[in-house]
Amino acid sequence: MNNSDFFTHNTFDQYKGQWIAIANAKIVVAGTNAKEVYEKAKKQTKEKVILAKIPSHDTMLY
Amino acid sequence: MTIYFRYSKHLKKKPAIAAPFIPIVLHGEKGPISFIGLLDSGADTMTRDVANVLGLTVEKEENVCNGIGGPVKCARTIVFLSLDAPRAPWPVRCLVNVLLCDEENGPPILIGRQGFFQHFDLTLRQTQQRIELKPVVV
Repeated sequence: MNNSDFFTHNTFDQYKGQWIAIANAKIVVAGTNAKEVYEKAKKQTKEKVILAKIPSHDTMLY
Repeated sequence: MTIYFRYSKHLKKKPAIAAPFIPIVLHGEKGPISFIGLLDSGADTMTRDVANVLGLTVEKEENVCNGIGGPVKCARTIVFLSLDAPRAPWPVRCLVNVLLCDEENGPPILIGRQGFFQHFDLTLRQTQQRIELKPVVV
């Protein structure tokens, strides 16, 4: 499973409103600032990292 | 050539709601970085922290974006965007509004009609929860 498939096939309620960094098909860092999350993730792993913002109920309309 | 993606159910809401998120690569001055973005029929937007991580130069002139949540201050930038998928075509140049709002409550990266949709014919198959993107050949 790649990072994109990991995002597609999982739910992330505990990370609402946060950025998550996914590497090796698992969450390696989470936080509220994209730059900080990315830089922490790149320090933790040499694998490819993908960043995703998990919307909160308040910010997305469905 | 058509590229396919699946809808994502990122929250355990009931009823479960799936949305057209796709993997993309944004190319900034600090190199390419992979993101998940949400296809949206509005303008292309990102929050300021995304522009920062990419090292993008943002115009000093501020504008106002009118969204469903009301007006938000924004400034323009240019970013090159490609799909993060096998057989994905070249990066496309997109004019993006950087939202000058509270980043913690900001939306995901919105991939909209201003830049991205000019380069792809887009089909959202809601019942199949499938996204189809076909590069436009000019």
